[in-house]
Amino acid sequence: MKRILAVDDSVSIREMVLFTLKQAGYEVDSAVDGVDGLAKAKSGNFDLIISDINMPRMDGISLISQLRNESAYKFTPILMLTTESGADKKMAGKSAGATGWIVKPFNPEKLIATVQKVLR
Amino acid sequence: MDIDLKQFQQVFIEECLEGLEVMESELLKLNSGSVDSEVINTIFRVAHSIKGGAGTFGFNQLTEFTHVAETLLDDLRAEKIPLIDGHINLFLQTVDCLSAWIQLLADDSESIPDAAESLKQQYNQYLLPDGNQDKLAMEDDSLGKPNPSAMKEHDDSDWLISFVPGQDILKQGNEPRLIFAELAEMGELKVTPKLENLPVWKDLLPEDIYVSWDLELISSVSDAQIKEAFEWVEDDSTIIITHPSTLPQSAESEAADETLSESIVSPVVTKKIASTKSAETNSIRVSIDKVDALINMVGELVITQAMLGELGQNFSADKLPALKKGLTQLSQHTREMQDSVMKIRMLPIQFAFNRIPRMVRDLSEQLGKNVLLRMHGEETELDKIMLEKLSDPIVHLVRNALDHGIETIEERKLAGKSDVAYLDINAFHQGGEIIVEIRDDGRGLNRAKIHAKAIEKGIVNKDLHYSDNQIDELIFAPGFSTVETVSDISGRGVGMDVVKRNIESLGGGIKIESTTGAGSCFSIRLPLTLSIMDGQLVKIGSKTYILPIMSIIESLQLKDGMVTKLADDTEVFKLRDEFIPIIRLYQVLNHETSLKRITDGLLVVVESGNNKYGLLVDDLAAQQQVVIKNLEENFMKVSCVSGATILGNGTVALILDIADIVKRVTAERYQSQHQGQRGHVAA
Repeated sequence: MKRILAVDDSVSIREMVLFTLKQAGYEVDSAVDGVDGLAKAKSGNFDLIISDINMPRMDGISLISQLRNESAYKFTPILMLTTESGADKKMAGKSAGATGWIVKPFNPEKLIATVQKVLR
Repeated sequence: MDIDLKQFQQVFIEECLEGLEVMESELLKLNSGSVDSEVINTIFRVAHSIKGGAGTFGFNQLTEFTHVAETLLDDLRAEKIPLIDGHINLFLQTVDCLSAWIQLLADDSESIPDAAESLKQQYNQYLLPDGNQDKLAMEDDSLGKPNPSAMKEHDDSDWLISFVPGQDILKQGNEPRLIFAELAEMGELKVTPKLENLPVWKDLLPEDIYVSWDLELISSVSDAQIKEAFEWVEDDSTIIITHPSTLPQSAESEAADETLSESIVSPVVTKKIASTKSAETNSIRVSIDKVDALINMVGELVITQAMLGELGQNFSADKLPALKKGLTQLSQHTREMQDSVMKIRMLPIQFAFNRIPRMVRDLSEQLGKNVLLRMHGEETELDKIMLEKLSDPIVHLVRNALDHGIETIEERKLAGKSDVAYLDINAFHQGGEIIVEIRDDGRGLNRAKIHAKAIEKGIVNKDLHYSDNQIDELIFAPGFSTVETVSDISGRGVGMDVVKRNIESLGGGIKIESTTGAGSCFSIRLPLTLSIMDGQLVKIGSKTYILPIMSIIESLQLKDGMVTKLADDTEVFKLRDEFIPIIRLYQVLNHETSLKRITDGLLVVVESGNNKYGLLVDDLAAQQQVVIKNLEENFMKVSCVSGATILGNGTVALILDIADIVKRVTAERYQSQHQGQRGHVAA
């Protein structure tokens, strides 16, 4: 079973992502911010990481660049959740090493479709 | 798959309310001019989360509204515009408006607070004229479906795609095979790799990509759909999509065209959750540590129970020590578990404090006073029920301090004080009780005025002399109010007597200390919890009663000659420097006593209000924790008694209400005294 780590500081979004992905048959763990996400990623073996951008303690962009420095996550797909309509956040994420993005607001179908794009 | 988003809305609503509290308290830390970026960031994140969640869970108007607030916060965060007082006020009003809005959502209402529209206009005044007003994806009419023209169905045709990937897309986790797999789902795909960009061996980096591809796709899809497959790599790569019937199109040239990815958003979810109001008042958030501690305790209890069960099955006299040990363990675990359960009901007093900073800010502005609020001990925990009932009295006392206690800036200058007045609110533990202090450095109570007013209202006898402390206490008397006109700020019909009564109904008390010209301090004293207390069992005649240990100062035996009788027949004794009135409990409660002389019994010195009393009892028995059962609920209100409990031997014992006893005794004495006075006049 593919394992996914979802990182978001909003409990409602986190629960929605968790529930949706579990329903879709993935094994999912979650983290509340970048620091938590990095620790969980290091201790587990995930096939995909989905992270929010704006979070306390460590934001999504820093999380992505730190993950890319870990040999285990060098090539792992990392998707960012973003509400930013401007291109600058997407670019910042890309240059930190993000694979792609899911634009908020998103519905469960969109989430699953995007996840399936990278977990084939 | 069908996933119902309704189930997450309750979580979202709770999250918003929590976020708004954070937002408000952070806003109050802001000062125009000096911008603490972490504070702004935190506020931004709250607005951002509400916006994101609102969009996801289908509250589109809420998304639009928070979007403008977020935009202004983003400008402030990026220091594009300087922070001014107007911003802070606007954000605070936004917090109010959003709280009301969330409440409406929780009540399943689709209406929008009236303030929302005017606030939005205010935001638009502050916002930078261009660039930031980027249209929300939500507002797009083509919700959930791509641009119709891009959607136009083609006949099956031959697409040619040249894909030269960016050299490091692998390091972003983008694999060409995934893109090809996606394209292969659209139709028949032919992939031809090209190796012309391959460098010489020594320049080749193993993690980079040098292959490029020519792709041939036979499909009825539009070029936009093909472009979507390359969405995440198009910025770094060169992608040329050609259709035999159209001119060659470069994906690169349209990289700035973001509308396609933006318009794919969730369909609108209009279903609302069921009413949640009752859930909100009855539910309680418990930290996981507390639940873990409880589960742990239950585990221990089960083990002890198993051990005792085994002992009981084939019991013999030699197992008595083991039985005793088991029983000791059982009682220890029961007590620990009781503590854990009580802790679940405990919440930090912060919940009663969190309205205060905003109130102080608004009121001091309104009154033209410069007040610095300092709060300590917000983490002190208190029973949830008490917390709810404590909130109003605290708010009332703070209003009073701001309105009456603290002087205006001019008055402070005249008095030689600093412009800034301090208002301190402290909460702390003291000997098994919680103390909440509300202290200001204002003008203090005006005793002459209070005394005059009390005489005018007929609350006190003008011929008697009152100590400063007694005069201060008069403000708690029913029907007392020193302000001639009821002001807007304090005194909305609720007097200090109500405050005092509310606190006493929680089993606590309130005291005031005041120094003319230097300020006042109200201190509220509360038991830790309502339903369990430490009790002292006392014998009165043949009956057993319980006194709350909390109110007992000491117990002593009287000796001959220690008791003096006053003119009104009150018996007093001298304890160190104080004269303390004696109350013979058997008289108050109408019991036979075994005491022949007052020196045979014991005197329990208790504190009630701000005064000490000596309660005469026949004997002291054990001390134990008692579970308070409400008499009013189960029987009826009985004077002098605050409740009942069941003792270890199964009998019921009544818990004495000291404040009520004192009141009754004082009333009786006052009556007989007045009758006596009238007698004198008549004579």
